[in-house]
Amino acid sequence: MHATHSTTGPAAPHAAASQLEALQGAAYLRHRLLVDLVREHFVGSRVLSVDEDSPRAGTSTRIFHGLKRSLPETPITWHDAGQRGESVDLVLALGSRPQSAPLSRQLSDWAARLVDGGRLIVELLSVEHPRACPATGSDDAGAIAIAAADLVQEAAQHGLCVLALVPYGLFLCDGGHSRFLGDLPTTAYFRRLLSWLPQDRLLLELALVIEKDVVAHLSPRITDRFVAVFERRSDTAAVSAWLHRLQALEDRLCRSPLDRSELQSQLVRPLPALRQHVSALLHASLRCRRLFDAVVTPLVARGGMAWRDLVEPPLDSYFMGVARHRDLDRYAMQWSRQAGCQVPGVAPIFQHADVPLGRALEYSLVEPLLTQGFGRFTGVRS
Amino acid sequence: MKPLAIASLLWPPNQRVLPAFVKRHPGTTVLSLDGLISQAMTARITDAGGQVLAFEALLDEPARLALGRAVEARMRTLEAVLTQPAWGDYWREFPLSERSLAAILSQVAAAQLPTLLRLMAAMDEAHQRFNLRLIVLNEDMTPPPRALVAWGRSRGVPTVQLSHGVELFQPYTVHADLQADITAVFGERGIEGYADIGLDLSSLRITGNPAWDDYAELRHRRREIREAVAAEHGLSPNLPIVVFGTTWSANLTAHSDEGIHGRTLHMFLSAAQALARSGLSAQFVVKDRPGAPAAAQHKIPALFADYGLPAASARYVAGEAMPWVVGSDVVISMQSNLSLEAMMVGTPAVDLLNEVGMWLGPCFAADSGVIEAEASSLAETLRAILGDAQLRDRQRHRLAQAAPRHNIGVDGHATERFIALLETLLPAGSRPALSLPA
Repeated sequence: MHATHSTTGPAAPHAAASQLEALQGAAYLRHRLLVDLVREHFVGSRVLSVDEDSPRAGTSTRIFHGLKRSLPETPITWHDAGQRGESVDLVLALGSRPQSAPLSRQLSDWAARLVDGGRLIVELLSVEHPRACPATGSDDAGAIAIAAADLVQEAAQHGLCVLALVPYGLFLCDGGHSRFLGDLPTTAYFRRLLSWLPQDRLLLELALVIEKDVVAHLSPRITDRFVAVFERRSDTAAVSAWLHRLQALEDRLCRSPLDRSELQSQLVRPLPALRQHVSALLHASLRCRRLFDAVVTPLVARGGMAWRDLVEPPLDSYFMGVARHRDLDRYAMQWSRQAGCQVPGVAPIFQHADVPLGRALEYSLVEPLLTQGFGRFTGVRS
Repeated sequence: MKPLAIASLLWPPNQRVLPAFVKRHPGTTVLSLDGLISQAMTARITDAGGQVLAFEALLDEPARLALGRAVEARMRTLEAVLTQPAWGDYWREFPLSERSLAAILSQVAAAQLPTLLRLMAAMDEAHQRFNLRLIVLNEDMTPPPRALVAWGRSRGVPTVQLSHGVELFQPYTVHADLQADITAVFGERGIEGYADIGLDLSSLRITGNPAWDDYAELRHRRREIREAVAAEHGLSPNLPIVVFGTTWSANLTAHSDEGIHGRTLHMFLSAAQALARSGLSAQFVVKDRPGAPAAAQHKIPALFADYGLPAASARYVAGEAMPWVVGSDVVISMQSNLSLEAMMVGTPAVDLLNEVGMWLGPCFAADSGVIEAEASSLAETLRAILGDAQLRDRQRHRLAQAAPRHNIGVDGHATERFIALLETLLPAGSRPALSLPA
């Protein structure tokens, strides 16, 4: 139950590079985010990497390629956590944790491998994830997802003190819902949009700004997954303080409307600078506007923030205009589907024997409503 | 025993399934709207052993007169109902006045009711005279097909919609529903939009597009077709041919842009101008839709001159797309099935992004092989396609890989699949054996 790869020592560069090329859409974004996260918290040189139990080269191998580092040794799998070995400076556990691998035991084993001051970087699914199973008591053997607070407390029992807990993967949105943003698209059109991430420099830049400059600094309940960074040291006070700050943050971020000063206190970049950066990208790219709208509209719709808080004029009017078009389409559907068949006294006029013809008028009712009714069109096409 | 009949509102590009069906079911009468089936297609159906009959021929003059009186009576009743309190009460919360809404319904009813009632009467007559087994359509949204679907449902006659295109957008307003008993789509991609909006997908079947079956053979005759279309239009087959397929606004969603035809045309001409000025020798063809206004025939060529495009290198055409799709070097269109036609034959395709297309889409994934470009990068994109053989090969490879997902009929057998689908809706015993491709 050792290596999932046939090569030992440094990862085969050509294999890793070709795997990077194969990464598409959101997977490519995930890779970029993980590389940056790992680079920020990397320590030492002795690394134990834990990878997916898969015959293909997994996340860790690709991450090392992204870091332009050689894979120090063959990764072990999640099921190999119990195996003893030399002490390491860093344990890197990324990728899909299988359901059968008990997290508590893994934390214990990884902590045992770490030197004092060594770090564990682990990627986990959040309880927000649709595949999350609620943990019953202390038995998390069946749970592949965990709440951030539970993880921190569990890790502390094994001498691991939390350094950072970074929500990420907003655009991976398997669950389609965020407590902060509301409903997120999990639809084919959104996957098509994200598929351009590796090729569209501006789209990727916008996605990275949103992930790294905003999402990464907010509550882990915003996304379906997070990356946790622990240090091998016992510091009960630090853990308690961290948990207290997390709870306070979650309370603040769920208020509506969102307090901008509260939000700014969490972020590193000033909001005006972020707004300017995002606005520039939106001006330059249709895809960026589509992505931004898909992600932000739920937040604006429930009164969390206004468009003018997020983008510079005239983009605020622009997005409000798009929202208005959606409203008009809803009115058009209501009108066209009901006018000929649901208003008392009208349906029989369009009845032929037992054939209801009122709905047959639907197509012809839309354009006049949008044109004569709402003045959206003039009826003159160029 | 009543003679067998099917009712067809299929558009000309898909009418090839009619003689194919009739050949397997000799003696079938194909009922359709007067003029929808050409004389040439009528002859093919006759040769296959069937006959064509117009709905209109089923109604005699007294019946038509009676229908006219019925329409008048119904319109009088409608005008009265629209002034009743129930009308105003119903629309009280709607953001438009009851009076403006009443005017719209009255106007639409006046325009549509005569046609619909005549069609219903004709269908009733057909049902009496024939053993009417199927109703086939290319869309189920506009009033006549929609009424036929409702009629078919009430009489137990199955209705089959053969999609006239892949639904590339997220279905909106009138598109956001499936009416016919069965809807045939071209491939998995054609299901995505309906799945995105949460529709019941159980009525969908994948058959491919019969109208594109010819591409399976035509793609092997590229040089011959290129030379023919170039000769017909005074172009050189030895210079790149860049085809721009125009679009127009249906105004069925508030996202529509009434000026999209002109706006995107100018985007293309600007790119063409930039390429010409840079010294690239290419020929630019603006292909309008059949039925485009006659005025375009002189207005658009005048624009060529405005953009400094030499007369020898720019053409305006409005005929069939197929020869241009096969014979050109690159096809540009806006969120259009024209890109998919290019995909079928491996012609590089560019999707010109615009506001409408992005808000209702996006339409293509990165691995589709269709290159998306905004106006600002269109010239550069075309230059890359025309100048980089490796890029073209890479795109052709992606197009070929993506083609079956968009149209399973890329193998040229969509007609057979569609016929097989129709026959599943016939009673057992009336279905001759049909071997289908694997």
